Amino acid sequence: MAFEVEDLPGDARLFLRVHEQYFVPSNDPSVKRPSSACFKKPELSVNWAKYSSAKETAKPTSAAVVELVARECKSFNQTVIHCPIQDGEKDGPNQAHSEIRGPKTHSTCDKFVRLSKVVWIRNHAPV
Amino acid sequence: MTALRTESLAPHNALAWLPGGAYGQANVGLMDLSKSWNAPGYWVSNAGSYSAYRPVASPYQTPEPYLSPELEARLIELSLLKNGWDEGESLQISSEAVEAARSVLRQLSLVRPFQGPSIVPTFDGFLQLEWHNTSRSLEFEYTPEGWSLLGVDSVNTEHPHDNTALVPLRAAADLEPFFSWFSTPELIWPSR
Repeated sequence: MAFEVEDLPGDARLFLRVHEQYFVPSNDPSVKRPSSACFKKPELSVNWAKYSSAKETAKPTSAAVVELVARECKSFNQTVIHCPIQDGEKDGPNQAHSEIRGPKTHSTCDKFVRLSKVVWIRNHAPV
Repeated sequence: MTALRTESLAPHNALAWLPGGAYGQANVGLMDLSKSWNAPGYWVSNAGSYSAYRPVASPYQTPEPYLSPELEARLIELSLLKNGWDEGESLQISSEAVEAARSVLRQLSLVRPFQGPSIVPTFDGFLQLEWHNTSRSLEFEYTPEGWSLLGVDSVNTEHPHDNTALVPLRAAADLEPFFSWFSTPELIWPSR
């Protein structure tokens, strides 16, 4: 049975995987944070927490998973859309799949960093 | 004896008389200056009667651009990423971006204090240099249009202030004031 496309509420929590190349030391060298570069894609794939968890969102090359809130993403002139991937499609099935769509300037990407919250880290490495 | 910076007195391939006694040294003789003209040191003169190159470290010494083995290794690592390196549709990092980063880092190594950045790839085949400290963040993103700069002053964490600039790719030296801004909290964002 095909997944239906649903309206994402403003308080929807979204999980974004952070590739190991994007996890960099923060102002405290012992603590890591996502680089702004990981938010740069015009169509940023995320998982809706209604149908997925942070751990399920991670891939083998993920260093961490961060959480965003749909309402806050929209405040940056972005559109947040639920677009589930059906069985048989590339990377499917994934009922949680959603996208944060819109142009992302360098400043916008940095705002995403500030809004994001690290909720999962591989091997519980210190962040 | 007064130490002076008098490079104009020294022609290339010149031989200079080294009056050892003037320096309190025992050896006196001739020295091939062609090999030391670019070496660290400075010229000295004594009442205009002679001059000689003194190859020792001095406050006038000009440091050479430098790229640490760690940063060079990171650039090589990024240049080896293949298409799809993020398990998505990301592109391999362009050689132009890597070479531009190498040039910028060598230039910035002349700024004191120099701190190496994190270097991250971008999905569109370029890269970004970034520095973070307790009060400021600085990012240089390579784009075909130039270096996209973002400086964030986060002393006021409630309302961090963003500064931006676009610097031509061939103007690596123009990036120095922005790097100084990052490492010197008293400085304001440079205007261009």
